[in-house]
Amino acid sequence: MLIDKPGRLVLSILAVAFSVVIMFMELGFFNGCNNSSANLPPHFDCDLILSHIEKNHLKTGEEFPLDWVFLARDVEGVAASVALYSGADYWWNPQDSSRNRVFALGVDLEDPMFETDLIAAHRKALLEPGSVLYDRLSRHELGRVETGTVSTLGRIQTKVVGLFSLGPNFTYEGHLLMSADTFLLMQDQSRNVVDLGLIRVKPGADLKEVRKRLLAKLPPIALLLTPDEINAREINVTTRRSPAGVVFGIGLLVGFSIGIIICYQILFNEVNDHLPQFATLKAMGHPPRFISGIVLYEALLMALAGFIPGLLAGAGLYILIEHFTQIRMFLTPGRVLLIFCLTSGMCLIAGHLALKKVHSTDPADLF
Amino acid sequence: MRTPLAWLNTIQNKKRTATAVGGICFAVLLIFMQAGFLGAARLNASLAYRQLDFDMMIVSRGYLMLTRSESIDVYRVIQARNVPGVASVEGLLLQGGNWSNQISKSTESCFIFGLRPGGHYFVDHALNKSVTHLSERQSTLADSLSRPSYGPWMIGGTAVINRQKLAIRGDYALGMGLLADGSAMVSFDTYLRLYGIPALRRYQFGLVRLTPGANAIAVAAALRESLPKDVMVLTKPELIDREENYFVNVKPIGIMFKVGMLVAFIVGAVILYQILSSEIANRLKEFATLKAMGYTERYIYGVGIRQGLIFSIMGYVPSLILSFGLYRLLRGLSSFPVYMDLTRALFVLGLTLGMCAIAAVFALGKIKRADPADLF
Repeated sequence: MLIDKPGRLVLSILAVAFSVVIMFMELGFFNGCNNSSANLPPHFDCDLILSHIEKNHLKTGEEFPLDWVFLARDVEGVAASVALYSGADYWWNPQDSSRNRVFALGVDLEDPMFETDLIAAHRKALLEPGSVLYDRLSRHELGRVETGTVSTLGRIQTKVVGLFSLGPNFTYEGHLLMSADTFLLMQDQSRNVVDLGLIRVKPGADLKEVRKRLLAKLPPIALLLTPDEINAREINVTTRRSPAGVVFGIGLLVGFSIGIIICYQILFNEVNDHLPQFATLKAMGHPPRFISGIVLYEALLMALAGFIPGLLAGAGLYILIEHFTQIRMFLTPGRVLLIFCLTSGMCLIAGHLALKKVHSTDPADLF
Repeated sequence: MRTPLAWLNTIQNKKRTATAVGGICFAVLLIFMQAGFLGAARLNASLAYRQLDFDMMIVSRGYLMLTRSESIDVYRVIQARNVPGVASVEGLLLQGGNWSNQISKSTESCFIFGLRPGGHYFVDHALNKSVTHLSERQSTLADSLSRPSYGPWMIGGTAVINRQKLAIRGDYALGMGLLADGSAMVSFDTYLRLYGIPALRRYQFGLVRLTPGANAIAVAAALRESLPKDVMVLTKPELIDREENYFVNVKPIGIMFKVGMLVAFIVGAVILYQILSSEIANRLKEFATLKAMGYTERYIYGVGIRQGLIFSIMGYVPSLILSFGLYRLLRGLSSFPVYMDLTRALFVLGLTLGMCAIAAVFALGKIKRADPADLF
């Protein structure tokens, strides 16, 4: 029945494909916004992250005294506790000396607990004050940067001694990694003012117990979270609180509802046009289940046929957006599956709605 | 009287028309939404500049945007005062800070404006008057459009900014939108204390106002001539233009809104075409009959296009009403300045009408080829 009118079929599939693209786009924006602002947590190699209770996002908020890091070392079950310094500063584009904000992390070179293997590989070079590791996924505004590039960061001259991959976000055009010493020099910050404390628990120790003991020992304004909890909190902060999260969230909802309505529109027309045939089938004595089966099967076929070009176009769109913004748009199997389920779901709902008409028609009325 | 065929066609099958109009309505709504996002992103970028009263702005050489500007030497402001045609130059300080929500104990981003009490900074005279109250030590004006995450605050109460307690002496409506959670205004002295700056040596901006009747272009040229090359002089329209372009073309979020807008246009056009062509295809027999009866092709095209226009207007009106609601929802949830303006409403209307007419012409192309004899 579908291939009865090929021109029409192409149009229907195209429309389904476009609603799939809209959903991919909105979901991609929404996730791109969330993933890019929660890009740090997956890189921590520690069990617990210590921060000031008023620090509600990894990239802003209150600092705490270095003493806390030392206090944590004395707690039973803690294997190691180090300080991490972080903050934003201006990066001079080495080609045209325009300036952009980058986010810098100053790690303990002996035991970084952040990108451990990477830091270990560049340890020797990073010992030199002013040497940094540059995020190769940074936005193009920062200029062409390779190993050996010399440029200005904040108030110091820096030399890029290696590259790593992290990706920019909406606020900062890029990220830099360096030793704590270089960081403190760059920001003219006191060693005593720490942004994050990274804590590793002894193998075999119970994380919950250690956390309880740590909280008992630290002042009440200390906050201890696991990297996973931090990740969830970062996404929560972006989705709930930042307008970007809200805007893209609403976009996602509108995209979905538009997709459903378009699919319904198409299927309804499809069923409406074949009403005499359906009525004939009914008159021939086929049970309503058989007719429902045909329409729902048709709906599923349309979903599938529309989904594939939609997926391809969506993937192309992601590449395009990544190219322009360097914000990474991950097309994970989970998200593809989610959109596929939604597409078939909305086609089935639409098919079901369209069926009502078939069942209500009396064959005798039609001729 | 001629039979209004297009209209009769539209109302003949009401259910079918309703579905078609519903589809068009949502396609238009999608365009409205993305256009609203893009417009708001533009407006948001230049919001603060639209409230400041200046003809020209002195900014640092490395200036990128409002919240990413480097500092200028205070002498540049003094030097600029001596240029003929310049009535006054005010220095303005601006930096990101932290506002503490005293209920949830969290810190929120806050842009802090440092002003000279008694200085003329804003277009709004009431606000300029409030600025004089800032001469009191450790006092502030709070932004009534700050996000709810700032927690409850009131005039006469206390605000905690950069961990220092400030008395709230008044408020103003600015809203930072995508740039920060909110803003606050303090005097130069309070600003220096908030950031631990020993003495006022650098501003972020110099607001230049001209004497009445002065030629802006000539004064701008004179300013550029007389000031050292570590600063730039931008006129208000130049600055607003630059700000909006930076946000929309360079920042990822602006680019995303732009791509979203493009995709919405394409999708909207395809959906409209889909709906109209199936509508016209259904009436192909009737159109062919008209042709066989001797009606001219022009007449038939006229009917098709008129029907397209009727559909598009029927779809446009509800989507316009819906998008008012959607914009209000967005403003409420995100303090993002999404407003409907006449230009956007007319632009989308024109676009919808155009797309519908084109779709109708394409769909009618079939009639040209169809021979009345083949159809029966």
